[in-house]
Amino acid sequence: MSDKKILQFAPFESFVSPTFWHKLAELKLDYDRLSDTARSIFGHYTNRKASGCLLEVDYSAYNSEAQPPKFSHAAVGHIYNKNTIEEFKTLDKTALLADEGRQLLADMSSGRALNDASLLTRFFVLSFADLKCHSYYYWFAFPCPLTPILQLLNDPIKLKALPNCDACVDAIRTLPAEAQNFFVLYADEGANVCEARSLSAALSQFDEQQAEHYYYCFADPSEYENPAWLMRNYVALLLQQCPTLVGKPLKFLGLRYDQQLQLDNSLIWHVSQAEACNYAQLQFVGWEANRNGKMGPRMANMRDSMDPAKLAENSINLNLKLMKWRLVPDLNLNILAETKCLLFGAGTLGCAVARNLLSWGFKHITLLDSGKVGYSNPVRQSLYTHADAVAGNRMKASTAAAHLLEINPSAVTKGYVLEIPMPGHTIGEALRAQTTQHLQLIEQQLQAHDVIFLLTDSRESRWLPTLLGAAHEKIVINAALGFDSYLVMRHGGTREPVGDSPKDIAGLKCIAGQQLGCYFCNDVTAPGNSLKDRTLDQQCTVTRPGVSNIAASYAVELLVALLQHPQRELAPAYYANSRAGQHLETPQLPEGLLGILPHSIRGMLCNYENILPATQKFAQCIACSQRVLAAYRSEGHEFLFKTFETAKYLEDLTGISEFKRLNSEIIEFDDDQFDMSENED
Amino acid sequence: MRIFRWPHWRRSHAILNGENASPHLIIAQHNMNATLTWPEFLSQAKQFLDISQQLNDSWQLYKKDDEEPNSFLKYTQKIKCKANDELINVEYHIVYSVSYQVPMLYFQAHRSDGRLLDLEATWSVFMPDASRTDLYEMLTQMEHPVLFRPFMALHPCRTCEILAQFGKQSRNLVLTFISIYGPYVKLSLANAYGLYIEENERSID
Repeated sequence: MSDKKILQFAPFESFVSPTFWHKLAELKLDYDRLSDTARSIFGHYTNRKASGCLLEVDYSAYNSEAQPPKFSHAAVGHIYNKNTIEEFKTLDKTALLADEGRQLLADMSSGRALNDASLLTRFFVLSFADLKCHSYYYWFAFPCPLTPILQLLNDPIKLKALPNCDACVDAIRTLPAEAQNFFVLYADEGANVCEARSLSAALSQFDEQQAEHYYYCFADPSEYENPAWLMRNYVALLLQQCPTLVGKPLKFLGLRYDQQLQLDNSLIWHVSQAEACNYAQLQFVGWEANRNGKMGPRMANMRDSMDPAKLAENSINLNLKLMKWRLVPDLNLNILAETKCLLFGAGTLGCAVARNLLSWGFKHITLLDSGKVGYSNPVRQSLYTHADAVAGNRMKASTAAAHLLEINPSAVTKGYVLEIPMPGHTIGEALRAQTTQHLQLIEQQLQAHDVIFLLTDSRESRWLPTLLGAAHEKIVINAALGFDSYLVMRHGGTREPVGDSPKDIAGLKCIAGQQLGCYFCNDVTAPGNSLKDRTLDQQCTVTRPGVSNIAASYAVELLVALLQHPQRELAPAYYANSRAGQHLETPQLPEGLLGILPHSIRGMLCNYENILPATQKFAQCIACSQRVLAAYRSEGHEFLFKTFETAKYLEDLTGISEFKRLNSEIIEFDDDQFDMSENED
Repeated sequence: MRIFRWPHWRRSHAILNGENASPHLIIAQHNMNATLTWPEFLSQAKQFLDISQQLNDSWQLYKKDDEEPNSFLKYTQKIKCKANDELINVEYHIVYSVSYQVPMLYFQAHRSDGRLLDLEATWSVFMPDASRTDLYEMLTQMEHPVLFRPFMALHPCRTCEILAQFGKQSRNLVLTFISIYGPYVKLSLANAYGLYIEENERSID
């Protein structure tokens, strides 16, 4: 052969199981802590149906003894897990590799590698585990002495091309699987002898005569034409133990099993190393190239599989996504995750609404409340515990926000402790500054959210958020409780309507979204101080316990249905004209993605019934009418303070004082004639 | 008697893809006898493991404890992604579904640095041509019933009906199940499994 071929090796490719990182994190947190001394680890490689040329590590790497999986062999290594990214970066890589290389060389010259050949398959990992971000910076190396080149004497041949192939295979199979990583096959064709020998047996009493018939065998994890990297160390060991082999032709047999456990594809390389090697002055190579083919470390972000918050988030989304399978394929879950909800009140309703929001995958929840968690609260208010009450100083808003995070750590929750100023609740000079501050906070929070929930326990505390919600064009959902009845409603929109006006449907009445009333539109009296002159049972919301959960569920479901509607809060509300319905069959109410979209739901527990009234905006409403909005817009806080002083101011401003006087005789309804679909046009 | 016919999985393709008109109708017709009790699953899984060992395959039986359904068959292999030649490791679990009383296929794939493939990536590796709606119906993420971690899974809602059609005479429904469902996620059993069963049945006959 005129052109000299040089044998090249297939470099190892590291292949890391997620469990390797899991275990590393555990060891770092529970055992190593600040210590960054090297740890012994084990890897493994397979020569059965090999892909690439892999060296794999998993959780078993940290065990005290190597436990390679079936059809795999052990590799021996270290992990140097540094405490900081700086140490990881600045560590002298050449020195580390040389140090590891010298250890390898020591194992060869001491003969240890002869008795435990797995010491030839060497690797180490330099790493930094950023456990907070679940990021793992790492760099594998497969140390190997930079020995003189190996000349390839002819093209590699397949084992099955040998005339005595069967005898060789039989001899190999006499060895137990774990001894097949490195061994010597003595195959003398002429004498018809074929036997497998351990490295120590063959090399420690080296016989040059017999060596002519030696095949230096190794389990070859390479799928390529080139033998795996580990053969380099094998050659180095051989020539160090038996220097007389320098310049002689050597036969290396890389064992490669296929799926059927046949050895047909095993390859034989005839090589020769012309120069002797100076073992005293060796350099080492072996750092692995990264994904871009450059010499450098890699980074694996394991957040998706290791961060409990991320795992919870994925599982929650998973549950919701199941709805998309068949039931509601067009459900838009992103809208829900992005919508920011502001809850006025963190009591029975507030807690229940917040939990329902989490169930639907809402992530942004802010609660406003002025109360402390009391002993009577935890049984009804599902975000508090007895311990919160015992502590004595836990505010509902902040406690609820914290507990929401305990339920879903990936939620974004806040709680603000503040009083909601109310009409007719005079504010003394001393409190004026604080009230202004609270007003600013409320306005600022309101603007930062998309949806306002009114969940307080009095009528007048809903006035300010109703007004602000209307003024800032927010979606407003209101839930109010009686002893065994509830009202859940969406306030009419105040945004400029876009698109077509709602479609007429024969037999149905329809109110456009921007024409729908608010909580106060049905009232002809301004809210006063409802806590005045009341006994305790009238002051507290004394309700059947189930009522709040029912109302809270309706409130959230109504919001979800609304958000899935293309017009959102401007979605029209249809209702059946009950009088016409007596003669004709009532047509179907038009349905959105999740069914019909009523304006309000009034229900009672005494007969387990719901009715779905829709009512129009009242031009003289004390909370959402143009006059009130205009006064707030032009006078701002000045106007608000006037209403806090006396509710009469609002009645005069809107003109309902007049209205009240004129209509006083028709205020009393006769129940039988009471049509819930009032305000006919 | 031929008990195990290989073209089955090809024919079952239409069913998995929901090409038959009404799923409810089909279930009503074929709902019989293709379910397994937990002891049946366990003994057939062990039988499958025996065959695997005879054939030098590398299936394992993972046992968390003696409770139902805390043992499952496990298999690991490397796959080369067509798109970028990237090598990934896939771990397959054949787990007993208590609610459906059939075997279920769970699996998880990770890259060479340990990162798991998410649902999107899994879809594009294993089912690049299927439509999104079909994918949701077939391959999705679920909580592993033994390990309690999110895993990819092939949905079990039609398994019973498919096993009833194709595995009726099979003495090992676990093997039938793997041979029908495996190929959807690049898990193919060697022909030897089918032959092995056939040989043994013949000797019994």
